[in-house]
Amino acid sequence: MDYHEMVDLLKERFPEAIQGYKIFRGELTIDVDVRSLLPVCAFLKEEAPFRMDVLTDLAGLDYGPDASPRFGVSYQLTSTVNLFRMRVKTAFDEGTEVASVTGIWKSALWVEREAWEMFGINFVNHPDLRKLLLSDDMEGYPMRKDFPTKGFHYEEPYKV
Amino acid sequence: MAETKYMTVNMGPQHPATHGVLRLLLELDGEYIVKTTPIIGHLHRGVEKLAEERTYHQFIPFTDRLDYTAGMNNNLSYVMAVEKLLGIEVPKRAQYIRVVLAELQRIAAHLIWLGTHALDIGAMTVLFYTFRERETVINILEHVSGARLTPSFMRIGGLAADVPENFETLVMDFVEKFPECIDGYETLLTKNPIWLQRTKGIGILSKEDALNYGVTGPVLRGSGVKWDIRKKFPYSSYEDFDFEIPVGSTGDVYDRYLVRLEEMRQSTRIIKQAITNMPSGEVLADDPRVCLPSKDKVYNDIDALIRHFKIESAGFEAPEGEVFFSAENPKGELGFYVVSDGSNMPFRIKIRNPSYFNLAALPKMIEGSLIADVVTVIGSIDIVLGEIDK
Repeated sequence: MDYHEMVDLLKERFPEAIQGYKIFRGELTIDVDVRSLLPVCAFLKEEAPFRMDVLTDLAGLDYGPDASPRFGVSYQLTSTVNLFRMRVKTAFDEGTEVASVTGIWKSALWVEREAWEMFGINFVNHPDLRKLLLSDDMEGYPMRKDFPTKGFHYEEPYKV
Repeated sequence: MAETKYMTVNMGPQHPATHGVLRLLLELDGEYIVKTTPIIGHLHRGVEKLAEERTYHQFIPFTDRLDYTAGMNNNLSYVMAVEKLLGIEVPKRAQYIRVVLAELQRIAAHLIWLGTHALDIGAMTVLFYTFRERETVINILEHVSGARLTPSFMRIGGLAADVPENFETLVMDFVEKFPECIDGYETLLTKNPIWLQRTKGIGILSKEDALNYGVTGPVLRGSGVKWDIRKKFPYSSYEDFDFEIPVGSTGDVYDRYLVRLEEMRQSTRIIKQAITNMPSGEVLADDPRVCLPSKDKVYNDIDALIRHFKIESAGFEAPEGEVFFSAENPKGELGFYVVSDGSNMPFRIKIRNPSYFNLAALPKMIEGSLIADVVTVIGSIDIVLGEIDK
């Protein structure tokens, strides 16, 4: 089954949710409406011909303060059954609730925490949404495009 | 009935057996672990943020400093991600040399793991033997790249230079005698009753959990999943070589130990085949947009000098798009998700760091086991905090 047939199958099943797709360097990327993320992911995990049983990676994205929609999340999926990889992407504006996929793939536990602390992406129904790599008193979301690499107040000594 | 109270113990971040700055909050019921909370990020350097204001070439040295026990493999994974984005074909000789270097580095990384893992459990002797062999490997890598731990030897499109003349004999001498050394380590550990008691049935991770937690590398294979990126999605000519993927059955610490030992044997097989069938030719792709001209040309040809200056200062512009490439590292699957907006710097780089995903499964592995086994299990998943904290 080639990529186009797979996308057609998904479009048939979720006519509203699939917003588009792209094939670049042999990789399939599907754009999904943020509201239907959870059912699409559950479908991709369980159903043939997908059976994406591993969430290999999850990346937060920030398209810049002027972009609309500004934020995105990219899910890199792997099927160990069908030897196949694909990417699911979703885009949304600040404050939008993004359903956590930790119920489907446990590997999302830490990467969602990271995307939350780095970009301020609001994951809902995550069992343990705390800071992961940053310290608890860190303010702001450092991976956002409007956050300077040096940081704010970098010239002040660290308060102990 | 008296109320049950659990004791909370803090382990780390300065603890010799946590292999870096890892802190664990352990909730204990007597000697047994009820809940574990890993606290990471003490070594966070914001590598992904730094990547966004550097050209593609300038990010290569940062990758060495992720998993500092496997610099070559990190380089390889990153440059291949960028090559995929650009659509560059790397010369066959460069691909073979990359395989030899990556497998040598895998052996070196596994030797560090074996020595420190055994040391954690109390078998001190093994460390001296593994570091003796590791020194040979590191000397070869130093001979090739000039650096022991942070080679930065791979370039986008190939390699920084061809290997020195006596490289092949050095490597062949090592791989001829190395399988005997592995047998030597095995006589110290594999049937040692204390080793068996400390590792068998400890830190079990089932096949289903391993996949669900996104665990990769020897930890996944120890749980019985025959999954190796080198076989499943071959890259850099790995399809040319004949090698086996070792798998475990129960998914305990002992299985992971056996898997890694066998991986070292398979690595020597791959290196032998690559050296024997080493093609001749160039080691850098013929792509003037991306690859630096040779020093000889830079000194004698004005066009090459201009091109050298342009690539060094402004870099090159990558096509708009996004790719994910991952390679099999000693620790597991190291992937780079590179998003390009068409400029000379990456728009976003997300590192899929294997130790991070493997460590996320640690609470599951040590649930209900004894506190003395925590060190054993941490050793068996072979973490490097430089990579976890990014």
